[in-house]
Amino acid sequence: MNHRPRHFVRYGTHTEQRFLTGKLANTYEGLFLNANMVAWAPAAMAAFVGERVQKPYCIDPLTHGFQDNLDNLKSWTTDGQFTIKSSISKLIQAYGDPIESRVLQREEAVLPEDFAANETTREFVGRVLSFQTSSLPDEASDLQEYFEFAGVENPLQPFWLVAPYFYMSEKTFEDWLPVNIRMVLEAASQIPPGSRLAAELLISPGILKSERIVSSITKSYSDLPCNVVHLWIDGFEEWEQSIDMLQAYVRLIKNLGRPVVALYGSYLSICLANQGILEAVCHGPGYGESREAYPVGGGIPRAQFYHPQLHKRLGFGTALSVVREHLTSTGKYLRNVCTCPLCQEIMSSIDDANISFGRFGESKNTTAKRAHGYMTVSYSTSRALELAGKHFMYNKHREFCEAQPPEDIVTSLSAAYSRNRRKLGLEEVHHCKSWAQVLEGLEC
Amino acid sequence: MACLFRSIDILVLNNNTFSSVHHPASIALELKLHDWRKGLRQANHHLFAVDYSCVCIPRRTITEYMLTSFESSPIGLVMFTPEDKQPFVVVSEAKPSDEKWPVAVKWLEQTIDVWEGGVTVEP
Repeated sequence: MNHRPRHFVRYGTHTEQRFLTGKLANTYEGLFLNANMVAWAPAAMAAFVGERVQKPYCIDPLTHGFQDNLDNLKSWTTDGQFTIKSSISKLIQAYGDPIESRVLQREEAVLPEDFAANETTREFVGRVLSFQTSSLPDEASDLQEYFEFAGVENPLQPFWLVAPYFYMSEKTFEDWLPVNIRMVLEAASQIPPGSRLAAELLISPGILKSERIVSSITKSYSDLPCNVVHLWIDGFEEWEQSIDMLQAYVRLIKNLGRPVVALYGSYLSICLANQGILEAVCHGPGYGESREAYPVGGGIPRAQFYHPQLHKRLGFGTALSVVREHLTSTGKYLRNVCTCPLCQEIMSSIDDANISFGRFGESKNTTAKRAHGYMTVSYSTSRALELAGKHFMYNKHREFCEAQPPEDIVTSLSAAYSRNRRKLGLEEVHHCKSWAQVLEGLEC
Repeated sequence: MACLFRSIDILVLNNNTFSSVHHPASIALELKLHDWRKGLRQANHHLFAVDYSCVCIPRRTITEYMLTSFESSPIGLVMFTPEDKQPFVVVSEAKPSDEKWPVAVKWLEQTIDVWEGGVTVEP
């Protein structure tokens, strides 16, 4: 495969297939699959990747999930037991020891010393890689033969193989860094010829504040025998960061001295990819431009409107206050707000831009009894969630295809900042100014 | 009362207790015990759907800053003292919303229809 995919999407749940298929299949180039999803439903994942979308994919082994509070891996069963989720259990069984004996049998977190023995590390790395290379192909051996016959690269072989990895914070990096390095070295010695190896670097944002730690990490990772670094900064919302943090982010990418993929990135990361500073960027469909290392619970899903000029998802009320002046006609909306295929479709269906835009805010109410009375809560309708997700996917595609020179992007961001700061306040729009400053200061 | 993914604590219809309007109006009341600034932000949001929006707090001393904040906004400030004969005292009068959005008004009307038609309560 000569073309290097730059735009990846994280496959979160099966219901998200609606954002990844049909016309939307053309809006992205590759998929990241969570290992627990693959362990739980390998046949469904193989059919989706190999038959429905036929795109490069990569399995995130999520090995960091076993090093901390194991409650993150558990859920309540119908008979009242708080146990490890079935999908995670299957994954643990595939990974074997030391995770199986620690987590599944003793309900203990894994620690660096569990990988002290070379033999243990070697076998563990082998099983994690084998899980990635065989899970999907094993489910579709008939397809594999077809691809061999056709002489094309088998899409059921992962685009990158990811070495096991563990989370490092400013407190724990000295404990985990040597383990992470050994995992990559061991994986490099085991991967099949012709495979691409990724070292996943999962760090706390606090690490960016310490030059000493960053320097130690970049020095270690820049020498590793891998093709790419998959970078995941825990809960790093690019639109919430100070200019110092954003500059530290760019410095880290540059100092790693090798291709870097941002596993959860927003428009700033996409600009960095468009300028060749990042190899690729991944996000979730309709969300997922940042992600905490450990799940923090679900909450009520709400359709958020991705504002194309602010490059940010906004709650419906906020989006309405920005967009409202352009709702006097459908043409004005399409000229000034968004021309994505989804917006063109909904704007052309009714000749009232207010009603059309209102579809993004459709909700249904549920009234529930609380301690002091009744409370009515609004949920987005599934149609509103679908529209918001599709609009997001089309806009992400547009951002990746953007051929504007950097100075024009800086001008657009600065204009969006100036135009909306009175209306929304500085907190909501300041990222435009910070991103413009970061992009202005780049030496490509 | 749900309104654009937020909740109006009390919705008053066809009543002019909280403003000097002389025509049927919809008025949103945002109840706050302490954080009137948050109430101000939330009450602002309701202006998409109602004619007037107010923050309602228990009786307390009103600072100059607080009064200016309300007077310079369309949001009204009301104090509530349940034991008084006239429990609601208008400290700063609400101004008519110039943010009303027909779609949000319609959604609010539909919500009211649901309430009037009987509410199905989830346990």
